[in-house]
Formats: sequence, C-alpha cells, structure tokens
Amino acid sequence: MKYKVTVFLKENVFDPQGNSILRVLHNLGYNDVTNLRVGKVFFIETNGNSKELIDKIAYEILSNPVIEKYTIEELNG
Amino acid sequence: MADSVLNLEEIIISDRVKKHLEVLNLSEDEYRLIVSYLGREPNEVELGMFGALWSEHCGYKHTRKLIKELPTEGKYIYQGPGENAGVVRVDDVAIVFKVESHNHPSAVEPYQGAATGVGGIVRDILAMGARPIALLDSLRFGDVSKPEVRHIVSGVVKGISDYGNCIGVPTVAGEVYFEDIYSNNPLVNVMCVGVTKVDKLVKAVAKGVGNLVVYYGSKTGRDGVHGATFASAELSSEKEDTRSSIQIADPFVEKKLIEATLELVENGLVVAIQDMGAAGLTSSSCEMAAKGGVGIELELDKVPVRVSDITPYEIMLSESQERMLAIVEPSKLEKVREILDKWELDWAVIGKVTDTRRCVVKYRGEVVADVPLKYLVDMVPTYVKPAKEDQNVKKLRDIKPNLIVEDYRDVILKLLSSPNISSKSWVYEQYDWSVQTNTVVGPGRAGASVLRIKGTNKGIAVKIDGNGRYMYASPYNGVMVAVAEVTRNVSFVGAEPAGITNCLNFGSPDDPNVSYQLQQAIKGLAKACKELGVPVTGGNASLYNETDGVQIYPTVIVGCVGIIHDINKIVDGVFKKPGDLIALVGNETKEDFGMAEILKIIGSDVCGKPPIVEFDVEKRLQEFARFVISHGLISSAMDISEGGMIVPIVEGIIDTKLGARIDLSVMPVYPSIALFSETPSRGIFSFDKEFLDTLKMIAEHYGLKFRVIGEVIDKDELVIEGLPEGSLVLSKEELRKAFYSKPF
Amino acid sequence: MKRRVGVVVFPGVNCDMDTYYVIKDVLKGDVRYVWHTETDLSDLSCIVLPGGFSYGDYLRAGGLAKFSPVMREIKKMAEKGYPVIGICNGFQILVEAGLLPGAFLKNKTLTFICKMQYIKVVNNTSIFTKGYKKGEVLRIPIAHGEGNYYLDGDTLKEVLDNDQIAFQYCSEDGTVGEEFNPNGSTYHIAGILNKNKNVLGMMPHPERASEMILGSVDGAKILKALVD
Repeated sequence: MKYKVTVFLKENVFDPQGNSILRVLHNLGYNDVTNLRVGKVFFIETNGNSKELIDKIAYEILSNPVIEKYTIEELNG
Repeated sequence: MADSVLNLEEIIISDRVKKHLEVLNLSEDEYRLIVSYLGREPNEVELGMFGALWSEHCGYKHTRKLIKELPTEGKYIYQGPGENAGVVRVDDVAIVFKVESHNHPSAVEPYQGAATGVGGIVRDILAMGARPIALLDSLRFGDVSKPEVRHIVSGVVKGISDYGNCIGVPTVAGEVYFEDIYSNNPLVNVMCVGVTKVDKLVKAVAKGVGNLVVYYGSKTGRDGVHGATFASAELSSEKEDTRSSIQIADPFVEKKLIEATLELVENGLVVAIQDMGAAGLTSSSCEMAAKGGVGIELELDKVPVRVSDITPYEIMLSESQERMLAIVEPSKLEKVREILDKWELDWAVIGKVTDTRRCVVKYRGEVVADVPLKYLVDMVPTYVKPAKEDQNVKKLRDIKPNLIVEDYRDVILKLLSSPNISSKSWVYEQYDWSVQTNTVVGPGRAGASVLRIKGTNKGIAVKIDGNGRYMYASPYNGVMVAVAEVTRNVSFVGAEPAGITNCLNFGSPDDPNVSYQLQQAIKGLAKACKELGVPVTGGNASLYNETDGVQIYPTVIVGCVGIIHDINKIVDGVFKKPGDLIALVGNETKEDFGMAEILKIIGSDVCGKPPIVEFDVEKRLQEFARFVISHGLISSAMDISEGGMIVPIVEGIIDTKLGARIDLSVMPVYPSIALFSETPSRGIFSFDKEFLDTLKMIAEHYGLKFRVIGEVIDKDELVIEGLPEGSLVLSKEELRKAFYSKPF
Repeated sequence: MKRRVGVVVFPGVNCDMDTYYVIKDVLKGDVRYVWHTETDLSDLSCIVLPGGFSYGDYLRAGGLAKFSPVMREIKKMAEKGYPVIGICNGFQILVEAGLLPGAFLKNKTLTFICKMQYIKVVNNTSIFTKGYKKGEVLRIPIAHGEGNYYLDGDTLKEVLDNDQIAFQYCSEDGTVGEEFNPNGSTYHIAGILNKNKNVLGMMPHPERASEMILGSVDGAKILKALVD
C-alpha cells in the first residue's frame, strides 16, 4: 500500500518560515497571496493494508504532537 | 490605597474567579490582597495582569527577601540588580550580562523551549542598548538511557544551536550534566553577554509625559498565554493541556530586531526599551512605567496581531516572541519609522506615557483595565516559607564515602568516558563559537572562554558553572564550591573576576526542605561572593522544578565575567612543549570524596560531605594565577574540579601530539586521593623548567602548596608512576577513545 | 590601484561586520556596506557576499536572498568580469542565483559543525587564490549546517575539465579523502570558481582566519586580493 502523510503546524502555532516567505512574495508583488504555511510530505509504502500502522508512526515519529497535526492519504497505483 | 468599604473576610470568591485563579497560579489570599489594594474586585483582564506580574518569574515572591543579602557593590560594577541586566565597566566599555532559565518550556517542547530561552536572554541584553556578543549555556539532563531524556537532549542542543547560530551570536562556553534527578525536569540556563559604550547604555525606565509607546518586532498571537504562570507551576505528568503555552522561536526576526534596536540606540532615538518576555505586553509596559514613576496608557486596537479574533486579555498576556517595547519622543518618530521599515519589522504606536501612575488599557474605545502600577509591580507580596532540613539528607551527609580503586586503568578510562566528564565537543561543535571574530579562546581549550573587545587591547573571560549534587547534600557549602570554581576558571585564563550572575533552580518552596535549601543556598552564595570580592549583578529564579512530587537537586548556576587587561597576556589549559614541568598548586590535597563524581564511576554509594572552600587559599591561588600569567611565566593553567586531578592532566594533552609523565609518589596522599579527590582551590600548571625556581618563590609568597608532579613528554601517551601496581601507561588512542565518547 | 569592495547585507546575514572589519581595519582596504535593495553599484570594483543566515535560511539556504534587487546588479558585474566572492551563506546565494553550479544539502552528520578545518588550494590562478602555492594547506574555520555541496556527474566532469575547483577539504598534511571531509560534499569541494574564474564560492570563513590572535592568518590572502 502507498500512503502520503502530510505534517503541518497546528493552526494556532506561529509559522516563522511561512511568515518570512509570504513577506518575500509580497515584496515581489504577489499581493494576492494572503497566507502561506510550510509543512512536510512523506511518501510511505507498506506490505498490505496498514492504516493503523501509518497513523501510529505519524503520531509518534513523523510529527511533533505538541505543535503539529497530520493527514493520511491512501494513494492508488 | 482606596478607602475600602469591603470587609475582606466577607468577600465570596465566585467559582468562575476560583477557576481563573487556578490557571493564574494565584492563591485566594493573594486575590483578597488584590481586592484590598484596589478597593474593588478586579475584572478579568486586570486579574490576568496581576497573575502575570505576581507570578514567581516576574514577582520573585519567594526569593525577593532572601536575595537582599547578596553583595552588589564592586570595583568594576557600573550597575547592579534592578535593570534588564547587570553591567561591569572597563574604561568606557560597558559589559552587560545576565543568566536566565527556560526550564519548564524545555521539558514540554525541548527545541522551542531552548530556542526561545536564548531569544529571551538576548533581548534582555539588547534592551540595555548593547550588542550581544556571546552566549553560554548550562544544561542539566536526566538519565540518558531513557529515550525521552535523549529526545530532550537532542531537542535542547539543536534549539540553542539553530537559534544562536542564526542570530549570529557565538555560544562560546557552557556545561552539560547528566543526573537522573533531572529526567523530567531538565535545566536550561542561558547566559548572554553584550558590549556597548557606557554612554550608550539604555535603561528600561519610561519617562516624559506625552512620549509614545512604540511596539516593534513580530505580530502578537495567542502563543504562550499564561507562559509566566506556567513557568511558576509544577508539571503534572499530563503534558497535553500545556500546549497553548508553547512559544515558537523566529531567530530571523530576532536578528533583524538586534540590528534595528542597535540602530535606534546609536541614533539616540529611544528614551527606554524593554523586551516583551514573560507576561509580554503587561510586564514590559508596567515595569517600565513603574520604574519611571509615570503612568502608561495602551490602545490594544493598535497592536499588530496575527489573528483577527484575539481578545484584549490575550493581547495583554501573549508571550509571542521577538517583540520589544520602546518609549520614543514624538519628534523622533519619523526616524524610528525609517529604521523599523528598513528592517521590515511589524510595528505601531500603541500608547503614551502619562502622569497618572496607573496602567490604563483601552480596547475599541472602552477601558478594559485600570490599575495603579504600584500594586502590580512594587507591592507584590513576598514570602519566606517555613524551612526545615530533610533529615535523610543529613543522614546521607554523615555517611563516609567508600573509595576503593583496584584497577586504575579501568577506573580512569571509565571516568573519562562518563557523560559528566567526557568531552562536550559533540555539543559545542554544533554551536558557531567563532562568529563575530572575537573568540580568542573557544570551548574545550581552557576552563573559561576568552573574547577580545575590538578597538581596545582588552578582553573578557566568561564561564558558567554549578553543582547540583554537592548542593543536594549541603546547599550552603555546595554553592560556595560553584562560586569558587567559576571565579577560579576565569582567573586561570588571566582575568580578574568582575561580576557574577546567578540562576536559582529549585523545587517547590511549599516544601519546607526546599525552603531550607533556598535560604541556605542564598546565604552561601552571599558569603562566597563577599569573601571573593565578586558582586552579584542580577539573576533569575526558577522554582517549582518538580514532577509528581519528585524535586530536582537545588542547583544554583553561576556565570562569571572577568576583565582581561591585556588580551595578549592570557593562557589556556593545553600543554605546550616537551620538557615543560607540570605542577600542582594551591590547597593541600585532602580526602574529598563527599558526593564526588568518582563514586558514581566505581559503583559506590554517592554520599558524604561535599568539600568546604577555604576562601583565603582560594583568593591567593587566583591572585597567583593572574600574577604568573601576566608575567609570562607559565605555558598553561587548568583548575581541578569534578573527577579530580586526572582530568586537567588528560585535557592538557588530549588535543596535542604530546604526552605526560606523572609521578604520584611525590604526593603525600594515597594515589586514589591524588588522582580523584575533589578538594577545591587547586590547579595544574605547566611551565618551562627555567621558571621553576621563580614560580616556587612566588607560590611561597602567596602561601600556596607547590609540588612538581611530572613533565610534558614527546610521546603519545600518559605515564602514571607511583601507583600500587607500579606504573601505568595509557596510550593517547585509548584516552581519546574514552574522552571523546558520546553519551548516546 | 586600490579597489573599493562592497560587502552585501541581506536581512539575516551575520558575517558582514566581521568581513568589513578585516578588509577595513586589518587589511586597510576601501570598503562599504551594500544594502540588499540597492541597484547602483557603480562605485564598487568587487563584491563580497558574506556568511550568515540570510532570511533565516528559511525555505532553502540562500533561496529567498536571490530575489533581492541587488542580485540583478551583482549578476551583471559578474558577467562583466568583476571579482565576486561568496563566503558560506554567500556561496549558497551565488549557487541559488545561478552564478555558480551545483546545489547544497544538509551536512552528512545532519548537525551544524563549527571547527578549524584544513583545506588545500587546488587552483591558484584565480585573482583570489594567486597568493598561494598550488597544493598549499590552509587552516580556516568552518561553521555551517548545509555545506554538503552537490554536483551531478556531468557538472562535476565539466568543473574538473575547466579546472574550476578552488579548494578541497583535506588533512593537516594535505591528504584529500572522505575522513577529512566534514560535510560529505562532492569531490570534497570546499570552494569553487565559475568558468571565467572571477566568481569564487567557498564554505570556510577566511575573515575568521586573518588575524593571529584568532589562531590563523591563512585566510588573509583571499581577502587581500580584493583590496589590492
């Protein structure tokens, strides 16, 4: 099975990187961009169907549950 | 105080208020005190402000009375406690420094906790108008065999590294210790040193009715609301509900903040500056106004915010990082705007200085808080809780430690590879210690680090030290060992100790034993500083370091700044050439194994009385060191502390192609005592043999024991003679393997 | 003829003051700061992009700095043959801006490394390195977290054919090899030149090795070449 795990900061957590990149975009004239937040993407392959396993490793290892959340997507093919 | 028509005993505290008090860590008695001050009950925003300013972190409730004992006057002191940082002065150069803790946040989110800790102390130095030129850190972690401890260690080191490196302030010295007692309560104490000209120093004292209050830095968000109160509370095992108290670091903005602030100060554009640290806007505005004897009015609508639905309460208590508050004369605003815009910092005029001596907070045209400043800042209750020594500790002290060494090779290599003794290069190589090109002696070379002061031929030596285990057995004597050690390290590079900053790390003062530790530790700190003639310029208190009732050792961390009058007359701890003699100088070596490092290594019970510092000898040893260094008579100097004499001898050769031959039979004590005893006020000096007679004479003049114990040799090994089994030869390869082993 | 050196300051750069200090106070050169929004560099005869953390190294090291207005002018100057040197973060910016080939990855240790490092002079024909002998070993500090310089196979071949490698990491006696390479960079490259040899990018910090009191003066000749 192939999965895509996206990890990103929780909504109320400040994102310094996103903030700075947004400012540069505005300086370059892209004022229609109103918000930008930075996250991480993991592509994971497993033997068989293991949504529970993915959830466990996403929570315990791939993300920092104190400040981050994640989503899991099953990929076809 | 207003005429009160309220009878305090009759005040019924509503459930809603009780819940709020719990979050704020204020007691019901404190609430009643607030009501008696105001003559009415405070509203929610006002109560939040009291909670923040009356927290242990901001109000120093349990330590304020005690720290009055500390000496604050001295030869180089320009300014003692009371401002954002202390200042020592050399000619027209002001050296600004202070240490702060960020223990509780580092326990919950190690990376951000440590990073924001660096940010906070840097801003304290910056608020004085000084350029931060160095960082030092004192870290205490738990048992590294526990994965959660390793997670904390990695996070904290990376947090300090990423933040310090990004803002371009070198981390030049520090210490790292591992003791199981800190497993759930790590200690992250960070010290910052800054430099400016004396006439450019800025105070955090608001003045001038009509002057503008200018906010600049990052926008305000919800992060860290109740951070100050969180730092003043014990942690329960459930970390989930402390999530909202995590502050996020943005070192890029901090760097811009540093440059913008220094430009503002250089151009004489600010009357006063304060950083928005613990309790954010509340503490910075109220403290500045209270000090100036003025009032302050804030319009929260003007504050740059990250989210549109943030409430006035949240704005006042937010601990979003990288924000400063400045008092600016209206005529200077245009130039201030230019600088802040150039550095692309968020900023706004958010209020003005008044003459009401009150803090008045407005939001959308309405007054949401109105409190006389004296109640918030000057009339914070202070407590001296009942103190009683834990009898188990007394029993521990009375047990004589048992030291039997059978296999010297085995014990020496075990000692050198133990986490507390082994090289910390795995930590400090992650720190940029050479940026700003002032680092003359960096980490790992000597007991202290040395920085030059550009534009002069002077320099400063800096060091940070502490000893929790000694202090557990005897808070009074233990802290004195730390003060002696930190000043000794500074003297041994050739500097004159000028001032000390301290961080008090303790458990909960509600426990009579902790209260006892606190009182004894401060007494000991005061005595040591008075005896050595080194004043305290300020510091920090971090209480409630305990989890589920398990308290940390009482740990006072002391940072010292010393003055070097000629930057070309310094030494480090590295041996220089074959043929140089090695001497042990200072106090006579006694059987000092109480609570010593070696006991852990050989698996013996850790017990006994920690060593007693003889200040008379200590002072003379430090003067001797400075004298012989300034006269170019020695090649190296290193003090003896944890682990005993074997440690500085190994450190003398470890990074060189040289070796050493030591003969213990010249010592009047048993070999195990000679090598491992932790008697204070002693040092290892190496020197060219042509200076032997001169040095003997000088040592005699200073009344110090001087014994040649060996020489530097041209072989890659350490030879120790005079052992029960004869001689022992340790190759550099095995020494390096042990000394450079990492804890995980 | 004395040159005027421009030290470019992007928000977040840290080593600008160190570099300025060496050029002005130690080497007695003519130097000024260049703010990243400036577009008139006509008074300058060479450019230094100093080290640090421009834009906090957010997104990618040097990734946001390349958009600053001053980079357009620096590109023009480089094309005209003016000397341009990028140190550490400056090197990363030159690579992101396309003035030098390759890309940067995190150090193989995945940690920041700060220590004294030996490097060998491989090409001593450029204006920056002509003061050294070929094969000379220099002791200069490194301080970086993303110094793992990467070139793909084809680009490496090109760079070797054109003799563009300026410095390689090595041991005290000049031996080049994996154990002496602190960050895992391709071919142990510590510094590289463009085809025309007027643009140099190097990871070590020569401004931190230009005064005896700091432990080494091996870096002084590189910056001195800009001053004379």
